[in-house]
Amino acid sequence: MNDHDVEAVLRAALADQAHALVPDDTVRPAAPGGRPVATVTPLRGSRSRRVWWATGLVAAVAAAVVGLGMAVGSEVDARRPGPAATADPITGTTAPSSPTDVSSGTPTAVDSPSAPRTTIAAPPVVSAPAGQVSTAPPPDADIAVRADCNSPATDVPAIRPSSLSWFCADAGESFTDITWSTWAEDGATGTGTLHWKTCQPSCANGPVEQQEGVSVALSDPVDVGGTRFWTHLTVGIDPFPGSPAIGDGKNFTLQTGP
Amino acid sequence: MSSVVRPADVDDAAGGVDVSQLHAEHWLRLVRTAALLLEDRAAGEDVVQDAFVTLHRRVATLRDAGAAAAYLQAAVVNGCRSVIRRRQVARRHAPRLHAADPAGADEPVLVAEEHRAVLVALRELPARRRETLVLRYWSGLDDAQIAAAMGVSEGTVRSAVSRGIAELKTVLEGAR
Repeated sequence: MNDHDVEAVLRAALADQAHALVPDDTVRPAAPGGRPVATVTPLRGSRSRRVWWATGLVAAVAAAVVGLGMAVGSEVDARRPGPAATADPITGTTAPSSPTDVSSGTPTAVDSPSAPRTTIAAPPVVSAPAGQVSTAPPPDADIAVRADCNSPATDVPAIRPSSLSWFCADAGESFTDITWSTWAEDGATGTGTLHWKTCQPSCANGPVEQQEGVSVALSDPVDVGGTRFWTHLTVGIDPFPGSPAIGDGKNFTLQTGP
Repeated sequence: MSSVVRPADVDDAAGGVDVSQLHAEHWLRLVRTAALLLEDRAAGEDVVQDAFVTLHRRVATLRDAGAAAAYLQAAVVNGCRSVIRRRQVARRHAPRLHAADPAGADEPVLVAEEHRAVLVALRELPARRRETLVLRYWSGLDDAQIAAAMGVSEGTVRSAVSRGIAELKTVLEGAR
């Protein structure tokens, strides 16, 4: 066993331990001065999660009040043409709803480029109770992705990274809070929160938008020096449809080396 | 729209350092680093949140997002050291409470025996050496970044990495 073998074992063991201690679906509290990105109720935990519990409780009460109001007005809304207005349960502000198939009453795909820039709630993640052994999923394919080419600290091959940034110059578009559903030989798929710079009026000063529940897929692995890397990224939506600067806006070639 | 981070959320006065964006990008990685150093997720979350709160207060003094990220990394390492120091004091005053303390309920059952062996060996290393290896092989920091985060020289970092790997190698070879 040489030093490289020890380093590889240590790197893998630390990654396993880190993900076991802090799973991908761990709830991130609100940033200081910011607001939470999702409302999930923790069962127990640290001071930061207790703060989160209080925040979530207030949001839940607000959502219940708003929901009651919507239920009362739903009969009227159903007769109106066009999308109905929905209220953000956290801020209380209104925003256009997702496009709805009137005949079936089911929402259309939220990954559509034409979908409004609303925050779509991610599907709930159900964890096995502590101490209960769940059915083991198939092992992940040994194919990595360079998760963040903007930072030397994170520009390392990664499997199932929770975030992905592929605009190396300015992080103009990136994913966070990714939940990977598959990581197999024929591709990796998941959903996450897509962030993109609007570049209006300029990329430096324009706002950043985000949308949750956007699909992400990786494909076309190649072998580089004994390590396989995904080379193709497909994003569920194109934030800039028609913009010639970034091609079709949904398909990107990923780096395989620094 | 609620999903839009408006310009008002960006602290222009702080050279473009956006704490919310930093929080979104680095929170999970830093919590995992702290959880590895402390072997406790909840304590790790507290350390990281404290680091972000402090950053938020001092954001105007930072020149860019790179400096803020380095600041966060150092603050998390220092926060973890403080927690460990408090634990050591608590152990000295209440040894019976911790003498038979098992690995902890949150510690996962590791499938790979080799991984288990290397983590046990890592736990036995001196604290600074363990910090160095976690920052190198989990956080992926280079010598200069680790030196900045730990407040030591790059030579000390290189020495700690070299000795740490040598010790782990001895343990792993003995386990085979």
